[in-house]
Amino acid sequence: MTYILFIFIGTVYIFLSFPVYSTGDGAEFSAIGFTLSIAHPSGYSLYSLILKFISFIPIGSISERMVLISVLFALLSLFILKKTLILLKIPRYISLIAIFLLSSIYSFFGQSIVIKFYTLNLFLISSFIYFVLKFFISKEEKYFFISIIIFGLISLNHHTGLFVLLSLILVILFNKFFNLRDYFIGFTILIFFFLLNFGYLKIRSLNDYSIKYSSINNFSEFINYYLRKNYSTSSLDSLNSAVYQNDFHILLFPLLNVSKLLLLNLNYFFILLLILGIFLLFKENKKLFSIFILNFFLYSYFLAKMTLAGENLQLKDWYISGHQYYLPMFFFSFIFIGLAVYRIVVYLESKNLYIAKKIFIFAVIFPGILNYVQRFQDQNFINNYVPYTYTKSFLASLPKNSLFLTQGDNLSFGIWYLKVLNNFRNDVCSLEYGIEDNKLYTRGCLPIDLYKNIYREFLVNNHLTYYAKNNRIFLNSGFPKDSVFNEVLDVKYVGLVYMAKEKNSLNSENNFDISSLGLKEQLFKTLLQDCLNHNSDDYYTLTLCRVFSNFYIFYGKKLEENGYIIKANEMYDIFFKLQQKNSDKLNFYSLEAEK
Amino acid sequence: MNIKKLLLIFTVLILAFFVKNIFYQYKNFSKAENSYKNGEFIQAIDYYERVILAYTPFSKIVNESVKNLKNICVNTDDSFIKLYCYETLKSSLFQIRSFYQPYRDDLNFAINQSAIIKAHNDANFTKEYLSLDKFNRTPNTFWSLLSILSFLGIIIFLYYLIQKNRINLISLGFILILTVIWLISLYMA
Repeated sequence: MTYILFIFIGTVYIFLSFPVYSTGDGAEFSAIGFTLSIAHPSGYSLYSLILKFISFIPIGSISERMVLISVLFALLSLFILKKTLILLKIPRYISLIAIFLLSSIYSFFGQSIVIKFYTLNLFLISSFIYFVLKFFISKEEKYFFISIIIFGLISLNHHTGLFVLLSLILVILFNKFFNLRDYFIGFTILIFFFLLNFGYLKIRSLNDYSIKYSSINNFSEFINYYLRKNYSTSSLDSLNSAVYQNDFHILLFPLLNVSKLLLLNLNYFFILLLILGIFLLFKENKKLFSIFILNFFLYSYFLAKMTLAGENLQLKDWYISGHQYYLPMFFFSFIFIGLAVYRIVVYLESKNLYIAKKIFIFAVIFPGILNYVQRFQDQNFINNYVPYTYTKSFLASLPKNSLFLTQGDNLSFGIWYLKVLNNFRNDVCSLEYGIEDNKLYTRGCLPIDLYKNIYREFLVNNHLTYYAKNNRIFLNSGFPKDSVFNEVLDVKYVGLVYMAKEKNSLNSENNFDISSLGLKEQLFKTLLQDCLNHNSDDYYTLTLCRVFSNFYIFYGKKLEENGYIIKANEMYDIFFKLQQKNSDKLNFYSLEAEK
Repeated sequence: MNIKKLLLIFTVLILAFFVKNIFYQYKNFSKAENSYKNGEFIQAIDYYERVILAYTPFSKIVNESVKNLKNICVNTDDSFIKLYCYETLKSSLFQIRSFYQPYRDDLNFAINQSAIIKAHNDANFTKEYLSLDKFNRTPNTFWSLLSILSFLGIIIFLYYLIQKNRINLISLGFILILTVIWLISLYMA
């Protein structure tokens, strides 16, 4: 039964995953993983190594293979859930129900079918807790060391995993495990893993031409990178000052937000079971209760103080922070829920209420079945080519030898994958525009030696505006108001992309070549179909398609100005269809964002 | 769950992944054929590309799609579509590389043709574009595989030492050797 359930879950996950790469960091991790390179902070050395391993499977495209890692670690996390529940003496069939339910909830399901490291993170955290429990129960020092090894691996992945160390400290106190030799060995293992991480980032920085987010040249750069100090506005780091504040509102909003997150992914019935499970464990075993409640607290309220502390959170906050970081909270929730379900079943059996028991078990399983049906509506990425076609459409629409300035991860990372790694329109030199520092990053135009003859004026003589004269600078978005580039360049929308011209030279251009828009319309037909036919509520997919829809309103206006009224109305219709199909309101978390 | 059952799950999942790609091949191939018949060449190129991206070894549909895509590239007179076609053929073939590169001859053909189009037959610029497309960012297969295996070796050996409680100088020396192999393979890859 166990393996049938795992095969079912794994097959559903594989079938509903993206055909190429997922939005967000999916394209970045595909490119980084394949080239064994360095991702955005904190570097994700372990994840990169595992991605590289899966890239050797000769089926599908490079990026399509990468999602198998998320599926695999989601299944392994579910396996650890089962093992943990069995360790707590909960029967196997209850643990299978818990697995089925956890696998069906929106955020767990969603993170299992995109190219992201969160299921790997969950697997490491849950395995760590499992071995900490084994250490607590058996008091054998080998479990202490195994926990330390897993913690070392956690340190090579994502820093939200580091919280779990507190539970080991708690168990050390419970077990009165004060062995200086073992502490020394454990500490040495941790330092060893920390150095392995530095070794990976340092060595993979030596190749100047590889696709990488940043280079790590020395230990202090490594520390800054690891602690994500380069980010001033990261979803995780920007709010972390809130951790140290105790103003009533700062204390209240994380609690409210994390409660909403739980309620949305579970429901009132499971929240009641969760509370009951917490209460029962407290009554039955105070020490076990302390271990689980500590982790539940760390990955719910404490994490929310860092990432979901605001009063009026936007959909983006819910989707980036809420949807990604809280998998451990759901994992621990289902341990409590599993315990509550078991105790209720035992109670009903003791009263000989066998029909009531069956009805109760059905009532517990049924929401999981409904969840799966709903996931086919909101997390069905099987036809979602949008992130890939979106990037391809931008690149394909550019004239030969264009400089392309990009803002935003979805397009910039897509270019890393499609252009830099897989050579689509390699004549284009793409530059990432840093909004915060007003810098242009040449990650999409490497190696410079090979590009410098084509873009000599820019790459050798640092003369960017030279290309504006020749209509060869394009952007995916206008410059921010305070950008230094506004002093030398003006930009205008020319259909999907913006073209940059020398300051004050735009007014002299009265004629607009409408035939170029007609050509683009032909080129964008596949993207149009993709935006109209994807079956997911992915926030970024919806956003990309809305950005794309502006092309049709623009083209419609130009057609109208030139007297093509019927064709113009067709374009307006397409615009409205795209807007309707890709409204923000369709997302799972949109109701919370609206409130 | 024993090792046999874990292997069974893993095999079924790889099979599911294989079947999913076969599904993509059939679905997109018929779309590509329809688009081609309707004279929508850009869409035909995009759907043939999707068949290639769903590559499975020895697939006749993928073979057919590479052939059809190449035919569109060669036979079209529209310079915009020609460039788009060669670029699509080239990047889709690059995307299906693993420890080997399928359709290497077709890939080289697409690289050469797209370079010629982009350079407007200017030999100097053709050389520039060729060097861009032939610039290899793929890490060495042997060394990258060794880096993964040696890392795995470090973890497994550490686990073994702890299970058997055999932490001594010889075992630490072995971990050191594995670490050095890992670092060297990362560098060489």
